[in-house]
Amino acid sequence: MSFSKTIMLRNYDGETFVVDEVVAVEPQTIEHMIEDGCANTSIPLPNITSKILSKVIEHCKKHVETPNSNEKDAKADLKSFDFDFVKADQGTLFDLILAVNYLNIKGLLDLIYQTIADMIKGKTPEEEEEMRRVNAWVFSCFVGVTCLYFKSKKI
Amino acid sequence: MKLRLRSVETKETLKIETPNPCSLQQLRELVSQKLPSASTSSTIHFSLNRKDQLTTESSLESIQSIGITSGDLIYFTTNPNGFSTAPVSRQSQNPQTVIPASSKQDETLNTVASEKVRQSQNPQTVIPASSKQDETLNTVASEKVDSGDNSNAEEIAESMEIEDGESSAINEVGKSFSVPGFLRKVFTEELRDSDGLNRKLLRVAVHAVLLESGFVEIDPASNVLKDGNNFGVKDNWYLASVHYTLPEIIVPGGNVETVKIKFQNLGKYCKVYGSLINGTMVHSVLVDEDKLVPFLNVVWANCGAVVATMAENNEIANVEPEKQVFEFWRKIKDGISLPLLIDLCEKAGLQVPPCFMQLPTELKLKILESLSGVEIAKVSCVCSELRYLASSDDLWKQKYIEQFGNVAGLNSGTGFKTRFANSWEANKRRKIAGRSAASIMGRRRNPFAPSGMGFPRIIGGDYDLFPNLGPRGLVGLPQGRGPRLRNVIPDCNLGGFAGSNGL
Repeated sequence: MSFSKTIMLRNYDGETFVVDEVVAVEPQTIEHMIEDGCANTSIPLPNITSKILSKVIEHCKKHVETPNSNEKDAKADLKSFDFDFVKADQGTLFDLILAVNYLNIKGLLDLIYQTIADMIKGKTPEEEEEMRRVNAWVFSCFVGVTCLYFKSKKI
Repeated sequence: MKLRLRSVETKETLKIETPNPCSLQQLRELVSQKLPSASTSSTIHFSLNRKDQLTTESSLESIQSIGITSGDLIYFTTNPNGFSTAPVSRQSQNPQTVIPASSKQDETLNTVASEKVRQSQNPQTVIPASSKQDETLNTVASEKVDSGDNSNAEEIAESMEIEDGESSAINEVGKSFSVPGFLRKVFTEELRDSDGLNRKLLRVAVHAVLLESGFVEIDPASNVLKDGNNFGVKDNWYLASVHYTLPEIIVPGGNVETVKIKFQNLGKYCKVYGSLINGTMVHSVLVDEDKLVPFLNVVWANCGAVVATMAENNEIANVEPEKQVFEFWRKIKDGISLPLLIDLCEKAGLQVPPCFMQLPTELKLKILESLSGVEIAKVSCVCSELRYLASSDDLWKQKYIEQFGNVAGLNSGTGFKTRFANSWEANKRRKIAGRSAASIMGRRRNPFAPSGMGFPRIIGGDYDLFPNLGPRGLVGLPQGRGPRLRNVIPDCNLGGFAGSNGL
């Protein structure tokens, strides 16, 4: 089995990532660079940190590896991967969106847009329920304390 | 520049002022001057992590060129073999096609939001051994890859010695706890002597999150960086408030902007408050202690745990704790750490860390497109920039079509936003009317409700003036002369005065 061609990506820390070509062409920016023939040594990505780049590559890899069939399993697996993928903290998420925008990876971009939109939308019903439950507890605590207070004052 | 030199053997720390640029030899001379025993300067060896020795290519090359900057902690020893090189531990489990060509510590520095100003510190981490390489890249879900936080502590919490905790974290193969790994380190450091009260655990965990984001603890009175080991000093330190700031804005002797963190315990919940001193916003996060503490304990119990076998067992048993801990981590980070960082950076004039408003305009617009019309309206109430962005007619056209179907080409003069608003209002009214009609139809015997038989059983209200007024508005035409005044008796002639002309 012959090795598929690999591409070197160099980010602004000076770190180099070696990826298979099939993975590297997920980002359209890189695909265009390769087509234009600038990818002889390594592709410079001057505004992306290693952490973010590794996340992006992980995502691309996963999507490339998952066969494009309509199997339920594959789709569900991909979905749960995506779900966990965006569970990062806000700082990472915003860094990620800037990087993915630069790299122009459509699928990942849409995923992140949706995630941030969901964050803006506000709480999911589960979280609201949680909030209510917590607040109910706090309220009952407050009532309890007030009763105790009055009791102690013998009112 | 100021450096701290710590002896590996005696753990004594010297503070040294070095010229800029300074070579290793000069540093040796300065250290040997300060040492009580007059050892010759040539036998002093330096290291940043007690494993790899610091060397420069030529003896005249400055230490700045190998990445040493002001405030760094450097270990020294006279023993030429004082530092042991860490064995390059093991190959990554699954040889993946993504292989970092150099060590991966640099990425940890970049997780710090205020990274831009920290660039000068980057080269430091290139020196240590490659034993840290494999930690990060796994096929595991992103949370685990979330920042090889481990080495962050070294650079950020300048006074923390975490080598012991670090090696245990490194030796865990495969699904390493990266977030919990960092927590573990901080726990080892801070809770060494005590028997870890629950609150202390929580308190230290929050401290860890802040450290990871780039904050350093500061003593508000003296504006001096606190050394890490003060947690055990006071008994109820965890009740007090703690101050943090960013290393970049520390000006010796000057007024430093700080943020304050306070804890409030409400039974089984703990509320963490954070605010900028002299700021207006207070950010707070509610943490469920009862739920969280067992998991933090698990993480702490893993301190000093060695080797892959432990990690393998952990995989199965501790997937849940990891999730909980990560949730907690994210909660504190998003709720306290990031807002405080933004506040502090704004106040201090530094570049603000990545957040929604920092995104370029086209990205903001794309995100707004994914929201519904009502949410866009809410968003436009937030600030003037967002209002401007949210007022794009194209955007509203899209939302109108999404919500109400086809554009019927009505009065094309008005913008889509107003059209959307009108249609929305109309819908709302229809719904309310529909709802009330439906409810009157199906209503059971309710003493407070009008019987609907004609005679309105209104309790209270102007039923004497408006006998026709029922729940559905005026029933039938108003009889008589319409609204009457109560204090006028109609057609009343008060003893003849009404018609006379005075006198």
